[in-house]
Amino acid sequence: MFFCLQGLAVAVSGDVYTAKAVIAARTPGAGGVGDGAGIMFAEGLYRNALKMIGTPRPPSATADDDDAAAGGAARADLRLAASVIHARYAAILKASGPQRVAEAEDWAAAAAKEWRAPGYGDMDDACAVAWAARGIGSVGEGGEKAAVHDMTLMMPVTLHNTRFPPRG
Amino acid sequence: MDRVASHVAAALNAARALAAGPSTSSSLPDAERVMDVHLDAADTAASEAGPETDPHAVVMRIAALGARGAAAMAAGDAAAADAATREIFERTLGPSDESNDDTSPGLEFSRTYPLSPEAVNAAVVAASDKPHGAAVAHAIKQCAQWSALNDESDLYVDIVQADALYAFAESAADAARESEHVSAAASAMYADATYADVKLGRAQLALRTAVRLAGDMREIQSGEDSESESSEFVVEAVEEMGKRVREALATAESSAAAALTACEALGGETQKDPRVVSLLFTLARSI
Repeated sequence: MFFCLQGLAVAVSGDVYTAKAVIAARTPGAGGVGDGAGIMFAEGLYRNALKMIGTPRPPSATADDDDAAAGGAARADLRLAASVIHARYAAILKASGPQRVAEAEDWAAAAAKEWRAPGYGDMDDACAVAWAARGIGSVGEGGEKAAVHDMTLMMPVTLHNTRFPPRG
Repeated sequence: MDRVASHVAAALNAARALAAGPSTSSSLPDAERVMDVHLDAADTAASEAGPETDPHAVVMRIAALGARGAAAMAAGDAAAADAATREIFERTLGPSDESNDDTSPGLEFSRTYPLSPEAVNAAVVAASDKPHGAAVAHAIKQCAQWSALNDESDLYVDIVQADALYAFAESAADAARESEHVSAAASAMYADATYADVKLGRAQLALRTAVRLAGDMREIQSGEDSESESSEFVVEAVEEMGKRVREALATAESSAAAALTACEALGGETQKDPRVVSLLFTLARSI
């Protein structure tokens, strides 16, 4: 469990560099090109975080699936924490350029599967996790208050319901 | 560990299992019932600690409320999380703005909670050498966590409020983990994890602040560009905001690094980790 806590901390460190890069890119007078190195550094940190939570590749299953072992799924008790890290990583990959889009989609799909949040009004699962992921510290507008990673509960605390079976 | 601390630890463990969903039910079947039993037991133990005028009893009550808040957050019960964190907030920082609308807020407040926030804060600090030190620090952290999320009021108000609570939680967790008191040995181990959690929370709050401020700064700048003359006031405001963005990013970076260091110090091997073993012990003993 505590190894996984490190994963969360590393992911938030990654968020710091993503935020730096995004702020640099959007600040008028700073050239507007952003900090490409910052995104690369964030990606490196996220890669470490993904290894720590046991999902070096995008999982095609969740822990309670029959084929979980084949998909390299995140541990059942890490499902919620993992989903947000996976969604954030997908966002970072998308920011890296068009050549990473397919990979990003795999991670986003894994995140949506792990999150499974019915009850978000008219938002579907993928929207819910993407929306929550935006709130972890950095990128995007409007999602500032979406979620806070809580190490004690091993989940992102949100203002919305997160209690549901992992596979609908 | 005392009874409140044991039940808080067990309730948190059950809350974690509940949040993770039914796939973890093999490790903790009936998580919701177990969680409720321990929450009620923590409340009872806290109420038996003494009257409302006793700082020690109030601190116990705060520890139990922290577990209740965390459990509500895990279960997605926003109303219960709100109620628990509001009580922690009002007991430690005084009445919130909403209750200030009354004509005699001080009077109203003192009727609800006879003990002043100053006395409670002193008792929280003193609790670091007690078996429930970590549970109290956790309660304040949980309150900060919810304040950072609360979308009812202005974001900047939330940031200032959450930051104050995080700072308080950090000092409480730090004192608890540094405690050399024999009776606080188990609490010191739990407080290590709470400290890491607080640092992580502060990093996230600072990041959110930086991104929000940078967004507002852009808005001001783009508004300024459209005018023919830039006013001195706007230039100053933008400079000030730029400074605050840099400060917030620096805080985020150092807090995230501190969280990582604290996590690494916790150790990586789940099976051998004494905290996990003691948690399982607590759970097995108290059901």
